[in-house]
Amino acid sequence: MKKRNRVTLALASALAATTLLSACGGNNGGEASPSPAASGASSSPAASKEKVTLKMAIWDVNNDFLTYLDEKVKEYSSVAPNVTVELETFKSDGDYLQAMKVRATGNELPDVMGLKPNWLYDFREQLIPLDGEAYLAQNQYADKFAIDGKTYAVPMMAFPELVYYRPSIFQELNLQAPTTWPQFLELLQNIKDNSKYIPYAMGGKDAWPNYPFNEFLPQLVSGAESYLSDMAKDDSPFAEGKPFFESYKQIEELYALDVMGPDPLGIGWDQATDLFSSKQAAVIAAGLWFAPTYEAKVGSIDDLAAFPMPYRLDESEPLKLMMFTDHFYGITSGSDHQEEAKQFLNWFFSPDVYQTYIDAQKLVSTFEGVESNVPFLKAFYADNQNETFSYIPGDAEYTRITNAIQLDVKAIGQDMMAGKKVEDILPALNDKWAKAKASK
Amino acid sequence: MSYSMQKRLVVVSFLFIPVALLLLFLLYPSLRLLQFSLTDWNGMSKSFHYVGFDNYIEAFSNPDVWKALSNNFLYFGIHAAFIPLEVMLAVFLNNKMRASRFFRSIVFMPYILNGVAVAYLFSFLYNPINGPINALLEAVGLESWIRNWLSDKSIVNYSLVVVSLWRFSGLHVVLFLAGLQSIPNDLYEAATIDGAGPLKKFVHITLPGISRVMEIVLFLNVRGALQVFDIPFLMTQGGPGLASTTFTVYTIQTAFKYNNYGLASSLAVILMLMIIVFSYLQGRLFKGKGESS
Repeated sequence: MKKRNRVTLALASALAATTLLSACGGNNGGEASPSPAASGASSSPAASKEKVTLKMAIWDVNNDFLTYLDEKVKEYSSVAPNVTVELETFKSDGDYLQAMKVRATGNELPDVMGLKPNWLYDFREQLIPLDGEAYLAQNQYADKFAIDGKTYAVPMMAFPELVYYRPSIFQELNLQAPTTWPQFLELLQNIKDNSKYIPYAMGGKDAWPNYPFNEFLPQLVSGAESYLSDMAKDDSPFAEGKPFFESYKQIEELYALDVMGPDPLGIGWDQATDLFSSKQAAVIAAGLWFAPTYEAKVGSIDDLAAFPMPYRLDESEPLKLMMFTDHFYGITSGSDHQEEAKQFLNWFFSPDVYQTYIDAQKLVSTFEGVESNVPFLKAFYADNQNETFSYIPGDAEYTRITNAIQLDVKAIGQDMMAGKKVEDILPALNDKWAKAKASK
Repeated sequence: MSYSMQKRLVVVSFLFIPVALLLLFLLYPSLRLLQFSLTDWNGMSKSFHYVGFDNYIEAFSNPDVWKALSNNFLYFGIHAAFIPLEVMLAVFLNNKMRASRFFRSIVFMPYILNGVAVAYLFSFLYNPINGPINALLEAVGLESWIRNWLSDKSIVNYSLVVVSLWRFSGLHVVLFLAGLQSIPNDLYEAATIDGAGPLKKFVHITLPGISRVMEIVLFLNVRGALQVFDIPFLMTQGGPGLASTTFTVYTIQTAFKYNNYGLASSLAVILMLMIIVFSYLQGRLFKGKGESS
């Protein structure tokens, strides 16, 4: 009996010892691995030749672009043989943002990360300032997005926000591209009256496809690029007579026309673009990024044209064209290889490399001296000479207030499509806004 | 070394790892959750401030939270109302009917399907343009029944509950079946000899026989209804507006969309407490019944 117990005890102790030892071993391994790299980053030039892996992350809906980028960053190893760049890609910006936020809390961000302009405030603690880098002087937009005078990330592309249409339908129904809001409504009404085509393809189920209206119209109507930050200084930015209210009344008129098919809230963006691509719908609003998607679906852009969002009420005001900058790249402050990352960005933003980037994106270049080669865009600019209006995200205070009241203009857009009146939505928002603003 | 000492050593050495894992992955995160629920942490910054019970006050005074919770109760209520039907179905499948094994696996099939696939499947069925449901209604002459299944605010939640029913009822039926099969046949034979009819047998043998399973199903229902997430998140993202937002969807959006981890943590704590309270109440209800009968 006793012998058996001893055997059990011996077995148990052996098991416990093995587990503990293996756990320790694992720990040692885990702690040991980063140390050579860390010392390599900080010490002598001989040690800097040590192998370094830079992690980089970006999102894009376009698979071809992601494939291109994956290949391109690998080429950096021929410039700096000791550096390998590993690219991690995401298909949707929402998934990407969520993953990056979770990693930010664990200090596990990649060395080089992509950002949207409206995330810069959230991530500024996690990024290092890039001031002093030579490429900043060449970038036409970077300084507009500086925070407290410091540039944390550099935009790689810009694109105008457009309203796309099918010229063949316009020809068939004898219609002209509108330049004012009343003309726009009349145009959609005419297509509706003809009843052959759905006038506007709205993927309202996804909420975000209403952004050209519910997100951008107040900014355009205000005429000020700093509109969002200005809102944060106002106690009642949603009051009658102010840009938000006025533009939302315009949008209400549009939604009330019932020109978005049988059930705009029942279909998502993919279905809406299917309607447009298969010529069941005549008009759809989106950024320039939609043109390559359309081309991939239809095979050519022969029957595609665009006009700027005609937000103005009459022709006496200038019509500005919303320009959205995107794919900002920054270096994270938690990176062990900041020097290597800086050198990589210098290569990445060099004209030769950048030219291939912007050609793969088929969007507008943000660097002086580099022109993107997009026939569709050239045709658009030939027909429309508009003043550019840059999308500038709200500042820290704006972000704080909108997060506190959980302001989601696209969800409001859905409510409006479902028939809710502006007068029933905005006064309550004003109250919440004032309260959140005061509760600093 | 004494025998009891040896015994203790064995117990401790065997328990060390599971207990350590439990502390690390269950207790520690829960305590951190409690801690965050008392702060204004935005989920990313390196510092945060303690704000006392502000997040809890905010959670209870926010009408959107109550709206989301009322949607959860719709799932709970309708699922609960379908439990008798599920029991009936299980009783049918338990009988020696033709191809009952085939039907049993069919009933269980929706549960093993991937939740994302189910959401996309039903998004397609509910589609307003060329959607099969509307096409079917049209084909049988019921055009007037055609609705905007996912965009009409008064209908969207019912459309989503149907998906949830389709997916989870099969699991309940199979659980009830297992319960039914554990009832010894002798009881039914004795009852037949005593002259009991099918209804009496059902009330006095079957129902008490599956009361344990019933308890499990009700617990699953409470937990499932309060935590329902994938169906509304994938099919409507809580929309249109906030119409189909459930408590979990609201919590996720508070955390990830609006960077308010403090409030989101307090919502998570409230959810945890609600599940515990409801399960306890339900348990009490059942115990009471079991003893009285």
